Amino acid sequence: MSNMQHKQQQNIHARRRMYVVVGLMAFGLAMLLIRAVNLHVLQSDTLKARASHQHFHQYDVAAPRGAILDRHGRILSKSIEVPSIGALVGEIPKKNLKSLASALGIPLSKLQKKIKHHKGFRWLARQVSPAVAARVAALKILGVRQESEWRRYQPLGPETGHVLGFVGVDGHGLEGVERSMNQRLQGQAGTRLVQRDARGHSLPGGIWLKKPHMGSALTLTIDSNIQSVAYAALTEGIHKQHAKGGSVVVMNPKNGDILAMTSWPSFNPNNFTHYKPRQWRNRAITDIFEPGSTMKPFTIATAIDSKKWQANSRVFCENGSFRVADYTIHDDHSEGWLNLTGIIAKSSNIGAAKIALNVGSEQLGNHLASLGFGRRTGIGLGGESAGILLPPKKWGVVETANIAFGQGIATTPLQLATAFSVLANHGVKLTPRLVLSDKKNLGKQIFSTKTSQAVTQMLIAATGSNGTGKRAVPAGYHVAGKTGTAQKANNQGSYAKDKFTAVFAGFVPAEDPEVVIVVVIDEPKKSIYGGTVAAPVFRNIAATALPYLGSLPDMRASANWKVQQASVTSNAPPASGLTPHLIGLSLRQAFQQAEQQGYALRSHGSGWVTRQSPHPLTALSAGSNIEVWLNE
Amino acid sequence: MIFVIQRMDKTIILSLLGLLTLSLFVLYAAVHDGDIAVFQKQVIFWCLGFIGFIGICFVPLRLMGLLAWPAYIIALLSLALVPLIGDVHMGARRWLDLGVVAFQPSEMMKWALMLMLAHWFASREPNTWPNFLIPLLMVMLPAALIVIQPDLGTTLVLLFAAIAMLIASGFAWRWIFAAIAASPLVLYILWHNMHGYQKQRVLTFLDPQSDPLGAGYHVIQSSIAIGSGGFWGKGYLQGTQGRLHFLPEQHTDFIFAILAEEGGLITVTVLLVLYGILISRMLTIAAHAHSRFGALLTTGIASIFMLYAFVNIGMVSGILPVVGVPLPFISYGGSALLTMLGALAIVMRVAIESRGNIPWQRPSSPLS
Repeated sequence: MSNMQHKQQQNIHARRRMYVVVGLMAFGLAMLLIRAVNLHVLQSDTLKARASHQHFHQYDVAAPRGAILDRHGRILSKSIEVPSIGALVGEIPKKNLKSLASALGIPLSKLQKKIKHHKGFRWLARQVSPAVAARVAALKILGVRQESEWRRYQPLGPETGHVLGFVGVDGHGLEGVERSMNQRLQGQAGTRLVQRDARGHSLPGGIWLKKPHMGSALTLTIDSNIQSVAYAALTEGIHKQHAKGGSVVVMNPKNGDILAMTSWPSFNPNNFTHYKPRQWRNRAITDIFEPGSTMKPFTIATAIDSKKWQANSRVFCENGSFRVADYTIHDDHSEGWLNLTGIIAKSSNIGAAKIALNVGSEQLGNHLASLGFGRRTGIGLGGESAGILLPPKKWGVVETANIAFGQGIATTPLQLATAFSVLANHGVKLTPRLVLSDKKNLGKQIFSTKTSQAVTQMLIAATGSNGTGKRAVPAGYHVAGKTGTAQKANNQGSYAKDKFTAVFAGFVPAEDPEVVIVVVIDEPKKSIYGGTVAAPVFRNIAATALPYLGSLPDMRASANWKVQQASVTSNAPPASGLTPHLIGLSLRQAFQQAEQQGYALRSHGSGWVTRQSPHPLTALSAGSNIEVWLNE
Repeated sequence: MIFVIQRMDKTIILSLLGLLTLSLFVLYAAVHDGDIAVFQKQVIFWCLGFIGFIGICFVPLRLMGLLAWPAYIIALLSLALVPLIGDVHMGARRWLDLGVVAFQPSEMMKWALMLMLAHWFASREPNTWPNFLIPLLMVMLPAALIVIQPDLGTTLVLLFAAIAMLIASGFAWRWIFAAIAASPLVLYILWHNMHGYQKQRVLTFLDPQSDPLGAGYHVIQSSIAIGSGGFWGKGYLQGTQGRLHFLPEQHTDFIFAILAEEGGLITVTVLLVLYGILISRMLTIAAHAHSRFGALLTTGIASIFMLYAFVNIGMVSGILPVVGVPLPFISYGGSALLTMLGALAIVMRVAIESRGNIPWQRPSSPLS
């Protein structure tokens, strides 16, 4: 009995102990459940947010910029997709650095410098060639990855570099049209959401939160053919003169469209970082120069418009020396009595000064201002200079006399082209345009039609066989234009003795102008005169551009026949270094003739030569290149 | 044969089948876009485990009692060999390479110690000095050997399981409280014997946010997985923490995070209820066992199961330091599953031998 009791007591004791164990375990399970409720319910929202924060990665996807086209729809600038190589620096195994550097084509030390002190994502090489990208991809290095980026490509390179400008690596236009029209060209970046794993790698797939939108295309008034011709002609002219720089503007005077705008020294916008920033400058709108004699037509036009003067009014030109206040004006060739046409054709400073003094500073100043001098043209490119035109109230007699022949006033090539367009467009001033538009370019009448016709006649005389601008005339056309030669100001505010700007500005065909062309050559070394330095460039551009624009030369003009005969008869090398006439020859004959005369020939196509560059009878130095196009 | 199978405890079988189902679903979710072979292997381990389970059900408990001393001594000897010839793995020396297989003597010691203590107290009066000090030595010796490996998790599991057995074996409370009161001293000695990484783990346990990219990273990530599951979970195979590799060891020690993320609080509750049923049933069997040996052994095994589940879930949900302990029956791993099924089979044998005593088992079974 007592044994039974003892056993029973022991059982009760053991069972009590078991309850303690059960209690402890139940307590444990309850703790787990409380923790689970805490996490699942109370902290759920925070933790869900943290989960989606680390699982999803939202990033911007750049949109391609809109293309820039020329007036005929040819591509001037376009965004292309190129690979860029980046890496999660912390993940790259050290042993792979050497092979990575050689695949990227950079020295190992440069790569090491790039990733030093970094752990997260770094670009290793942006916008690389597909070959480099393929080499890197083949290595399959941990942490290295490729992303595609948009890169701007301008097929005409240096020819359009200054006008179009360029785009930085992040897709923002930094210069030129790319910059001033950035808002329109730039697309809207998209946003993409992808899943990301613990190592930060994005998983394939993903969704667009916002799709990227390509920027709008932009059609310019530029004609890529004329642009190329202008660039080639300018470059040739500058090389021939060992000049420091220069620029050309080709403008349609009837609607203000800029057909070509080019400058030298040039740069390749596809590789702009390799050039000095001063080479990026679009000299046609940023650089100002004293226009010199090219200002005279406007002085004369003001005079005629004032009704005080007529085309045949005569002025005594003081035989080359004329004192205004304490200042003496000189002419290069001393003249006696000249009518207004003579003043333009012979480019008499004294004649222009006397007329200006007669007309008065206020009228001349107002006319020059309304022609656009001293003010930005409104073409819409950044960095444009306004030029310098003092307010007429501040002009004394010396200033008035000087400005009459283009001293004490400064202009950009584009401003000068705009002003000449007024003469070519029946006295109506148009705002130059770079963006092609259907809208009619409404102008403002500055001179009467009669005045502009009268001045045009004088300008034709200026390019006649006795005029200063005779070298500007391509065979078979009449050119209305004016040479200009201006001393450059030096740093001290006086004129430098040996630094000149040679200018030729004009329009052609004079009877019904297709183009206004302004050629500015900065610091030519061989000759300083606009008539010998800038005029040939004008002629070269006009000779190619006019037939292209549908304005054919008058083949009855006697000069033209002479050219034809000369080229047919001369098999021997001509004494002067003029380009041989190769049109109409077979390729074999063309090569023979070029070789005999010591020129190198580059041919395009086959059959008979139908076009050549430079134009026949252009002065060429020995060893120059001639290009010919066959059966074009 | 039929006799044994008919006498099996239905509650244990049912809860085990429940855990099996849950295990296969969760394991598949953890590996479905990775190494699917893991899943196939685990299915094979389950099959082998069930065969072993049934086999062990035929082994009389008496025989187990006979195995107690040899098993304990072998386990102790191999533990002693570990510091001398053990393999270093992840900064700790835990494994013994037997040529054919490598095994962890500490794993074996857990079960051998339960067997030994059960055997020791089965025939002895608890409240005497030698009967208290000898088992204390039996516990401290292997615990010391394991802590120097170092393997903090197993040491703690061992100690707590032993404490549970001491309680169940009927020691006077004053003895037990004396042992617990001495524990600050033990903790102090333990801390000074810990390796840097273990100290770091304990410190991280106290404040996991303090080192979000280092030691606390895993805990934070598993907490995010659990919490982002919400009440209903993200849906089966819809979890992202695991698939995107934010979770470490997602098919072994951290598998609970996958379950909680995809299944939500509801599935966690199901799991805890299953554990609760299994363990309370084991303790019921212990309370009604025919032999004291069977009762104590069952208590020890139940404590180990409970400690495993508690430590694992506690560590994954950030209330305990990260120690490598599997989630019973759910985590991938052949040896852990096989030993646990073996241990459960021993409990089943206790139930079979105690039939008639245990509630909800009809004593009127024709063959009993």
